[in-house]
Amino acid sequence: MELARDALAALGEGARDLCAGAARLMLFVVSVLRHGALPPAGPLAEQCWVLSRQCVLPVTLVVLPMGALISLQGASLIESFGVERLLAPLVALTAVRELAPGFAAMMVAMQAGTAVSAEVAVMRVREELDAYELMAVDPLRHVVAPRLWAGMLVAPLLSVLALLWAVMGAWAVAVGARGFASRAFLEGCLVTITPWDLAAMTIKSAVFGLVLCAVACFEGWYARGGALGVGRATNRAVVGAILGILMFNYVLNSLLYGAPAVFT
Amino acid sequence: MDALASVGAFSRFCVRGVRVLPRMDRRETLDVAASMAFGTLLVTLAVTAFAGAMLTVQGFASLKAFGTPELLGMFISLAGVREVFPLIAAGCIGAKLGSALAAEVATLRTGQQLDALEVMGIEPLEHLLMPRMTAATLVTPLLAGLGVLCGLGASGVIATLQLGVDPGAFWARALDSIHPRDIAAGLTKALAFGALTGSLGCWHGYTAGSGPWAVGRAANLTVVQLMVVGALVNLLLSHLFYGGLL
Repeated sequence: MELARDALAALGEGARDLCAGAARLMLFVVSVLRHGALPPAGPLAEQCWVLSRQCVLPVTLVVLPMGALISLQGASLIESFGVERLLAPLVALTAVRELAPGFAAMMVAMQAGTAVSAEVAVMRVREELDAYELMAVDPLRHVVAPRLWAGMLVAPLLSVLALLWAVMGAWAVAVGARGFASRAFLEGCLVTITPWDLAAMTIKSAVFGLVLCAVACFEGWYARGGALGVGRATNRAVVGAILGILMFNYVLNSLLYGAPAVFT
Repeated sequence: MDALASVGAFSRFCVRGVRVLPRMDRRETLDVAASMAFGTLLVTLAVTAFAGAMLTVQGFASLKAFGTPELLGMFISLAGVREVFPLIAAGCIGAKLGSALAAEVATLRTGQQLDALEVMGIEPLEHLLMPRMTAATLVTPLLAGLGVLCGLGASGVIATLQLGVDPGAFWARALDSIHPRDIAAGLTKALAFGALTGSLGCWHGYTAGSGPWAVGRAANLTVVQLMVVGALVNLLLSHLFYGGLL
């Protein structure tokens, strides 16, 4: 009984915190846009470089096995229906629509989300952000805005990389383990992916990158109280970023691919 | 070379942890497990609900192209219950618990409280780290199971209310396609993910340097390594349960 009450209380508190957090996050993003709609080019380029350097290896290491996985599960499904020629379209569509933008964004959330939020939080708890303000350097424009835009610019590039790795992973399993014809598989993938799919992938991952960097900067910006606060900020940033990515994923899927009965 | 050395040190740490398992503080384990479960429940449910919605919209679009939207229920069971829901749930639980664990232990390390415990003759491994590792290992399958149910439920809601699939046909196809093996595979994966989360989080916290930087870095290393190792372990376990990789 007490357990159930605790669980309900935790759920209620969580829901309330979530709504309050979302509202504060939006206010934060609006103020970043007001202060730094056009961030200074130097810090922006630096952030883009740091972000891509940090994320290339994790994206590769995570997406390769994921591509292999869809090929593995897809092949057993498709062989049971006897429609082997559909494996390449299945893999290519899954990769371009969900796997590449989603997992690229997930890895940016894990890697950059923790790094960016920790960075901004450390600046906050060491009062470096206040020091910037004293020196009349706007930290929203010079610290936060470059990180925000870097996320939006780098995530689509990483999703293209992820798409290549996903198809590679799937190809390795399909050809190496399941005996599919290599050329036919690759041609099937190429034929399936339309320019529209690539455009949708770019849009999706740009939105994800923006959302996750906004969450990371937000949590870092409002960090309080020493090392403990930094830890809390990174933790909340990761969770918030994942949640944000999945929410926007659903909304964007409904807008880009779905027949959204709700919206019409 | 450094990477190899830290893998070795990490394995030694895990072996030491398993050795002190009989002397572990059980009360602390239960307390930590309860707070982990309550703290992570809401976000797990939210994330899997959105994953279910995502999968349903995508599956519907693809199946409609092949002219067989009535197979949606089967697709959700095969893709969602087998792979996507356990993976997303375990990934989300791992990210939340892992970064929280790493940050918590790293904060203790930064504040030299771990050293203080050792000086007082209290072994941190028995009273602090092992309870957390065990709790993460136990809580992850529990939450992932709830997450899978929530994902399946959300798929049903989206399929019937947003996309207009017949509820009877959807649920019949969905439930027909779930095999006990899928549930065993999902729980095993969640167990492995939980053990990884706990051990990586505690390890990176335990070996953190000093200062607020180190706390952020511990959380960062934990989640990134968790995802990389987790993706590989997931592939291997899928091969073990469903075969076909070699």
